[in-house]
Amino acid sequence: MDFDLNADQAARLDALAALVPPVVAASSSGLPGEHDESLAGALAADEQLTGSQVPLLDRVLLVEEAARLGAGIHASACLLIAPLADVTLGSGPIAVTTEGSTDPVRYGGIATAVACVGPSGLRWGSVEPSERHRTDSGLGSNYGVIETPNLRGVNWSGPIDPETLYRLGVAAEIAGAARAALDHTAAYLTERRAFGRPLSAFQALRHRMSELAVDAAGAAALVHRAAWLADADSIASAVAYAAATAGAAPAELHQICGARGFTNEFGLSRWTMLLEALRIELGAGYATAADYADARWPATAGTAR
Amino acid sequence: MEFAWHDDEVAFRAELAGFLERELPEHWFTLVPGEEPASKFTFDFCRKLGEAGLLAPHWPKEYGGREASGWQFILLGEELWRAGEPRGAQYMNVNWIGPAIMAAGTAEQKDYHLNRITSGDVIWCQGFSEPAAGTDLAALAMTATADGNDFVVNGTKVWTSYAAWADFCFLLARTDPSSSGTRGISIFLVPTDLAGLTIEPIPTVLDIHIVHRLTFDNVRVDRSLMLGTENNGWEIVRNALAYERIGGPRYARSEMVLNQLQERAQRSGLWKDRGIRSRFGSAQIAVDAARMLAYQVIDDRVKDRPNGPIVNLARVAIVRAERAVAEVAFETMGTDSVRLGSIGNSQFKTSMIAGLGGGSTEVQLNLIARALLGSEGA
Repeated sequence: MDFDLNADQAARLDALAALVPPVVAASSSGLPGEHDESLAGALAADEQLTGSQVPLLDRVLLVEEAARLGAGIHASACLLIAPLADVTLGSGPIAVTTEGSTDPVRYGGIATAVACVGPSGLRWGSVEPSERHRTDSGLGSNYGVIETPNLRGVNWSGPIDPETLYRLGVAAEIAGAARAALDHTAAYLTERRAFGRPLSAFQALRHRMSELAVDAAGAAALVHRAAWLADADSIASAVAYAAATAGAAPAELHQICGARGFTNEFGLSRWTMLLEALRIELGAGYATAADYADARWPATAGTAR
Repeated sequence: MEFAWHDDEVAFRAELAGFLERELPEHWFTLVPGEEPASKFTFDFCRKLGEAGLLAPHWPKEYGGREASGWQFILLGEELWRAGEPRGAQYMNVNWIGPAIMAAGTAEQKDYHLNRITSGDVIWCQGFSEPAAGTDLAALAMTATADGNDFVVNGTKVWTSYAAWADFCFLLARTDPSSSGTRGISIFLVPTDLAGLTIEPIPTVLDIHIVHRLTFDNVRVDRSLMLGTENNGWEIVRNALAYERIGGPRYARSEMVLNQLQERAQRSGLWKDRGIRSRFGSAQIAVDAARMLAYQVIDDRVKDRPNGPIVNLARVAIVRAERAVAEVAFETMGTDSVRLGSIGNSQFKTSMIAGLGGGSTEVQLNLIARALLGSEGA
């Protein structure tokens, strides 16, 4: 067991960071999801980052880091799912839908390609403008509904079905976004003064930030373990923990930052609105926890020993 | 980054499992949370562990260990806590008291104490908290005044676990009367049968765990019982306790309890309720996170890195896990939890202790915040 990045992992994360332009805090919308076509194209062309030989743990680390850096891509789609399709989906926005669902999805309003994941496999194809319909959400991420009747694909025979893999990716995005949101808030608390001292001096805020730091650290650790073990049990654990983390962090961080936290220019909403979008995508917190219980203790559970 | 167990760790866990299978009666694996700190069984068990080289495997060979890695140390803790901690109070000896003596003891102290610990024959208690110095331990007021070749100790220690059965007390006292804070404190390895030392239980609601008051009334302690140098005890304690935050991997016992509760929920039909299964899932993720954060601490330890905030993050996660399981116990067991000794009643009390034993949760949160936000006055 080794929690340090190996040389390949460190090199991949460095390569990713070099490709991602710095986050502009004062973005026009203050929301996540502005697509960066040059980044998507660079990722698709970079064998070191998205090649088929890249281990799952490394790919999940990249998804987490892309989310933390605020990369203008759908991180799970570009770094986890698109490489599975073994075809180029171009450098336009990619949306991920789930089998049998017609719900709005992230990037669905602007996607030029779609990957549909489900227990039976993975299907993909291009999206024509007439096949996508924007959904106003106020959460960013360019939500929309995609109608794509003719997707190509194969049945899946790998150890993890694409939908489960995708959910692990979403959990990784949560780990990255939670870390970024926490760091963003921490930097603000050390600068902003109130009642004659920095906000960071108030224990009422310090303890709450520490509790959120436990959440963020736990989310990352469980995502990493799941990506290494690549089994349904560990992934369900990582997903449930991430869902709980994404459920708790946004409201708490906005409360800690005060009214300024709501403004576009402050930049926190870039992370918190992404966290909200991601938790919605994973489903209700109680359901992710129950799913984990079902994976952890199948109906035929044996003895405690 | 990788999460595989290496061959030696797999073999070690198998060796432990085999030992426990042979030596531990079945009921230990289904024990409701509760403590058996100093029964004849725990002594016999620790002696057998010692004979098998499993009581202090992570210790150096010269002190009776076998130089096992930090990973084997945590595996040992997990397996034993998962089995209800059959070492009783002696887990403390091998986790930090012995290592503190190794680090700062004289040759005579090492000879005298370390063999006793690795033989499984001795119980220690820690003389830390006082009526006006608990979490703020550096406010301790107990005095040890030099008088010839002795120190004369006066004062009171409280909330001390295992004291009624302890052979020795790892005692902190102020040897420089003009000092305050962390300076001027010395450590003494004090036999508990010295004249003038009174030990009495303090009644609490924690029926599963008894704590004591130790009153020192002009107790004469020979200078040779001092550990380390005079007035410099704080550093020894700080280093010794650094890893004790996770030394007792309580999440392993929490997980055992959760598994038992799951069996009961399944037998009773409660498991059909998705809401209940959700509560179990939430408790299990708390256990999983605690385990992974504790493993990160071990990773730093085996790489000889200084303590970072991960120790405190892990400790908070461990406390969360205990409490999450206690909630599930109440929800699963219903009114059965009013019975003393029931799984709900006991887990609830265990989880109450978790937030204070090994350092209060609030101190852990302070230390995490210091790493995240700088010091309070910044």
